[in-house]
Amino acid sequence: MKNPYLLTQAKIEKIISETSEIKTFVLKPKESLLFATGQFIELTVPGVGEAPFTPSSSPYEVNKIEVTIMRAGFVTEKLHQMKEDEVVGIRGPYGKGYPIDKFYNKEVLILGGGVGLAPLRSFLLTLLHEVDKFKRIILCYGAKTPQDIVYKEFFPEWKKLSGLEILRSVDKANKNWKEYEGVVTILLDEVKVNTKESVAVVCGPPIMMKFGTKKLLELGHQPKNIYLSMERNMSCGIGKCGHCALGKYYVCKDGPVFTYDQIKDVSEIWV
Amino acid sequence: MGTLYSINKTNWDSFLSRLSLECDLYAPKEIEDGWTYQLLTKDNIPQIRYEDYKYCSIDPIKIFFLPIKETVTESKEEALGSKKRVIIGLKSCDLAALSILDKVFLSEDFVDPFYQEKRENTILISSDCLDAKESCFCTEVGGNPFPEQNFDFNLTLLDGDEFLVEVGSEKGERLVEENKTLFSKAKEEMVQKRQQKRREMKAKVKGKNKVFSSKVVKSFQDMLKAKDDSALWKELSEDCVECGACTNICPTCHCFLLIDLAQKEKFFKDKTWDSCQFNGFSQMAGGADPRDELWKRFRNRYLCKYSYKPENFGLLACTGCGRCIDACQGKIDKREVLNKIAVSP
Repeated sequence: MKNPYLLTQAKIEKIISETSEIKTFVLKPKESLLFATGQFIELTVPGVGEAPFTPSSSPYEVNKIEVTIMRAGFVTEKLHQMKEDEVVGIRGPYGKGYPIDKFYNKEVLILGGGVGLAPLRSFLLTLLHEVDKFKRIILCYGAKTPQDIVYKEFFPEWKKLSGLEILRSVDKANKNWKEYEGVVTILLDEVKVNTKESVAVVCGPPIMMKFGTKKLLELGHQPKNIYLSMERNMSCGIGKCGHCALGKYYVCKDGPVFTYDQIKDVSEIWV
Repeated sequence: MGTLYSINKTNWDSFLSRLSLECDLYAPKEIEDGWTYQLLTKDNIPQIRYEDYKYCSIDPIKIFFLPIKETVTESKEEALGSKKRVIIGLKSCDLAALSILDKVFLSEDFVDPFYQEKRENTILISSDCLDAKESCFCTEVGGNPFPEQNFDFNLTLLDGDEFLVEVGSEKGERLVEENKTLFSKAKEEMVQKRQQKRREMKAKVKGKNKVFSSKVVKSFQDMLKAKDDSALWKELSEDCVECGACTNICPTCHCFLLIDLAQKEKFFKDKTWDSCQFNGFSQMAGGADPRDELWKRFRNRYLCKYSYKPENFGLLACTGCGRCIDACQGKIDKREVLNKIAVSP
């Protein structure tokens, strides 16, 4: 019988510094770990602790997994101290990812903030893999400052792609910044989306999730078409330990992707 | 209903002796304020005083299936393969809790092999309640003070030297078959007697819960959903000291913490009991916590038991064992809390 708590070893092949607080780790698992975009993995620093992360790489990339990690707590602090060629433990994937086939022939609006772009990058790469199947793909991304933007080297490539529209904002601009200034939700006023034929996919810090969702609803997006990648303290990953409870759901098993419609009545939805 | 047999005390003891050849036997042992389980030797089998264990033990049944701490990253051969066990003295409230634990740990998508192995290797011998504590309320949450499910054998003590044994599983039927000279067919008057005793016991538990209307229980789900109001929950949780006794002692509470440890070159993960009542239980990296205040954690326990689990599993995650009432340092009576919710505007 399979022991769901067991880990697979994964070597840190490369560490990319995204911002002063965020690094992307390119992992090469000993046994390949296939995931659907939006699913998450548990990553263990041996003997130290374990934390959940949603891969930021494409699920079509089968030999490596990338995770983009912000220094935010005990485990992530240790991870940031780790070096290339060191070994971590991983298990998963867990939860339900984005129902990509439901998004075919629709306008897909992606709303991301800060390190919340990590799972959305995996999602975006998945869409781009079959870009013709979507009517439009729009990425609205916000960060605190231009320095805090993640995946800086990818944006120039993405901007060249037909079928992908990109709008970016920063809360506080500098003199070289030529894009939008203000909270990320202002970008939603700039894109005209046919809300009858669209889905919106949101991931970011708690405050942004709340106001992003609110704004999308004001603009006429349907609760059942707003997909939220929810963050909770997922620990076991298999719906048993209780730490990630969100109303009657366990985020690890029933999520981490939920429609707003599913969770709108949960009193603890926004943190 | 399972097959009913009659067996006298001498034959029953022989039956247990035979089981003890292959299994560890756990039987009730009296301690201050109640009883717990002890590992029996074969010689002690005749000394089990079935008439003394009138209601549920102090420890919840989960101690046999979810140890307070266990290492979960060992390979199967090392970690599993525990000796077979027989547990004697279980009551219906604990057996009912197994229905919830099974839903959680044996769910199709991810089976917990540690739980499963213990569950498969355990023979459960229960008995009808002979009395009720002040805190007992199984009858108000859909249960009865006599086992109707999840046992291998259930004993009803009748007058004299005879037990009425109900067999509740295939495992049990096989064991009867292997030891058929010890069991005889139950007589009709014994069955009648059992019914009468059960009726009396049920009335007794109901009698203790007159103020706690079972009508309240029927509408728990809707009631709790509607009463989302923080002022009410703040008031209800005023005496809670966040000790976690209620969740530790609860037979259905299953939340745990995974801890990563290192011993020289070896790394492993331990699974230990945890409590949703503790500050930080739901805290995320970066510090955000959806249940950052006591009243939210307090509310969560009620919602989990009376609303979320029923929605997910079709079962209340409260079996009315009353242990959380007995264990509460703040003297909070769950029945009173639910009553207050029901009558609040």
